[in-house]
Amino acid sequence: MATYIVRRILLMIPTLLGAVTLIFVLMRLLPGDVALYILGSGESSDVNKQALQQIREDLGLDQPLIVQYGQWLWGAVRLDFGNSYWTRQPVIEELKRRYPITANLAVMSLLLGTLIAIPVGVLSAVRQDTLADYAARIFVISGLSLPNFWLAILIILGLVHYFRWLPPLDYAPFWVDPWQNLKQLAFPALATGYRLSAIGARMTRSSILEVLRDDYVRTARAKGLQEYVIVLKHALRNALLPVVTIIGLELLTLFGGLVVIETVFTIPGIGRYLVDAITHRDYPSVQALVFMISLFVVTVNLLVDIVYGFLDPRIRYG
Amino acid sequence: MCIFLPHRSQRCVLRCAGHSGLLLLLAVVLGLVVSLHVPLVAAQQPSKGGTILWAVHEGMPDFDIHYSNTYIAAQPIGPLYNGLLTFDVYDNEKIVGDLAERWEISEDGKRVTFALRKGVKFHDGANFTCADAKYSLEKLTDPKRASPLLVTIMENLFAGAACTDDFTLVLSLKEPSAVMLTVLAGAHAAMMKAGIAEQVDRKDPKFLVGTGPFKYKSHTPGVDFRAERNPNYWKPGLPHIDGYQAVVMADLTKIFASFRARQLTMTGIGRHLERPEADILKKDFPDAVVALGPRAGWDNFVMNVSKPPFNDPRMRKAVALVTDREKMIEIAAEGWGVPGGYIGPHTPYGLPLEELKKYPQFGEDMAKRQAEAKRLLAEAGYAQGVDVEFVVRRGPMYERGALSRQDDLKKVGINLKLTLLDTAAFNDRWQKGDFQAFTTLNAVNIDDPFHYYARFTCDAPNNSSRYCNPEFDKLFAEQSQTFEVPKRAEITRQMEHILLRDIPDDRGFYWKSAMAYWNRVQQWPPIQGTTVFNFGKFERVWCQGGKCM
Repeated sequence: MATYIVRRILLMIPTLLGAVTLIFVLMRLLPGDVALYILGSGESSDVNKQALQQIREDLGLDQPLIVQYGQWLWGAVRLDFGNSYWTRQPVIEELKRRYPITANLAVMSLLLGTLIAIPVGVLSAVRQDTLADYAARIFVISGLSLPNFWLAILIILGLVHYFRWLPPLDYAPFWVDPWQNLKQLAFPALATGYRLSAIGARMTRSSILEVLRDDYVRTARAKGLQEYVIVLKHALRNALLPVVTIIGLELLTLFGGLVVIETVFTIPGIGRYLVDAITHRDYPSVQALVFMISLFVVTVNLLVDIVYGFLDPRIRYG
Repeated sequence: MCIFLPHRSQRCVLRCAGHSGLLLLLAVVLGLVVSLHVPLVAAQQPSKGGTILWAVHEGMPDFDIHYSNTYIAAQPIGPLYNGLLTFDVYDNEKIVGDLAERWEISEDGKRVTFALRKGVKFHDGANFTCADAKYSLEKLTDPKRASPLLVTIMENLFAGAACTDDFTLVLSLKEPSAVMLTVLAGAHAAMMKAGIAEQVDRKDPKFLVGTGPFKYKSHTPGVDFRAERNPNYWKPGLPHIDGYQAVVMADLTKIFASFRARQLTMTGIGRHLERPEADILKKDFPDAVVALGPRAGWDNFVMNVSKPPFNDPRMRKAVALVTDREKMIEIAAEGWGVPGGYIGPHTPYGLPLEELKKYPQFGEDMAKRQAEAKRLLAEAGYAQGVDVEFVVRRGPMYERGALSRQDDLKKVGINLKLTLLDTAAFNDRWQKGDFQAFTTLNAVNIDDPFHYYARFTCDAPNNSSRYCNPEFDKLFAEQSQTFEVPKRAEITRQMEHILLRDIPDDRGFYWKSAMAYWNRVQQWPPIQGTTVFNFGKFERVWCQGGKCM
């Protein structure tokens, strides 16, 4: 197992390098740069060549691409992502400030999604083809079909229309003010967690239905075990393996969703930072964010593989 | 007798009232006196306290208001500073002294002497003196330390500044200039502490040392900017509110929702309210105030006169002829717009609609206009129609008007092929002159002919259409040196005539400024053309009971 983990960690290096190189090239292929944005973002824009040149020189944008790439990569290796072109603040400081907020939202979405997915999936399976099953299926299909940004807007409009209330603007970390934190992030988490819960519920249902037809379940029933013990203790544990896989993979998609949700709900996390950074052509910020997200993706993939081993004793890595 | 009846009828009450008419009259008079007098007295006693929150659509790139010539900097940072002069936003934007107590213009118009206020302190406790004013004016002429637009104006006019003593500043001009005072009254001509730009990076909050009614509290990039009352402000008793917070919100739906949820005091300063939302407020929120006024911003269809097909004036004329401005106002601004010429119709220089209608592009018979446009197209060699790439800046404010125009122009065979670009990519194309036509919302931050017309002069850095007419340039120079409004208006009329004939770009319409705020907010100034920049720094604004929403 240890060898496997070390090998996977080493393989993460070329993956990360590939991701940041790709984003470095892609960002430069986009027309426009931050200097144009600084001078021309307002309505009374006044771009002139001298000012443009000045800003480009100040930011080092006049240097050859290979030099810019080398400098950035050398910094990234030392976790120094340079300064944002837009705010001129160190990117690492921005990441430190914003990453916990996004992680907070992601964890909350994951918890909410899982807490809904498993009971709904189990209920749907054990009450197959009943009203409860049909209701659960509607829930699942809606979750899969509704875009989360649209759901987020509906939530906002619904809250304002019916309660004249919205999640507070000021972010408070969970450990500082849990109630404020919940008030701020519960609804965004619902918008992102709904899809996750739908996918999880669907997978739990089909997986449990499959397991319930296995011989060992029949044996358990023959032994006279109560149905809830059979379902929760025997069937669910074995049915969870594909559910964990899918939730692990969806967690990565969830990050994509957070970019939109943070923008819609005005949450100062890395998703919103990424949108702003791309808009401003803030290369160092985008590169650092892609690096961090890629790191997160490969780490989650590795963790999911490790969790397999614990859930299913038959899986062993060499 | 009847007044003691539990279910008395209206008629009964009236009869009883009639019986005791005199007493009732007295009571009514007394009641009126009391009820009118009490709120009147209350209205004259501003409450202290409260924080004003409003939305800006993105965070500011730096803290230097000389350098960032946009509203996203002017709104949050402006109230930290004073200028030499300022606009009285409660009196039709009349220019009044701010840090200058009075000023005198020499007979030849080339020298302005400012008597500066004594006893004014910066937020760090240092005294404001002539050295600071001199430094600020010189900074405004430096392309490395000020916005290109301000530098362009200052370079052409500013000959130098000198201090005859600590509180007397003499500003020398290269030529007499009517625009100089308006520039100095604008939000961006802030008086900064001498040497600040050399000592502190403009991205560092320590840069924010002004003399204004508010001082810096905190800034979270991309999230918000907060300021608090300056307790040592040189105007006694002001400001009334404790502070303010400019919240970065990009999405109009979220801004409006936050306002309705009372998380914001105002949707934006002169911004962020559309007509359907205003209707919701009028219906469901009686304590919301919808403020509507002119805006020095217009929907602009810029044609590249150095490239086909718009290098041919007949093509530009055809575009202007077939553009249905009333339809565009409905589609793009839901009725909140007005047609106009090349200077804001709300200014003393703007042509009234009756005058504009004398030009064929403002004529009422659209069929006739379309027929004339087709004739011009045929004459220009495009009888079979022409495809034009139309670069559009992404955003509902630009896209809706663009679609309306596309529909109009198609009717005569000008087929606009839309290329939607985000701001950076759009600016790239615009800057390189790599376009046949583009549309955006253009605006000026000071309602003065200089700002409206400078973009059409041959060498202007922001001359997007590449239009050049020496006759126009001559008149431009002439109006710049004319101080009297009626005389200046005579010249600007001639300039309007040239532009309406040459059509360097086509003004779809002038937008209106709209915002909403809660009626607890008192003394909010009426909306003027440049309220987004010049709104009085919250100096006299106060909130009932110290609560702003």
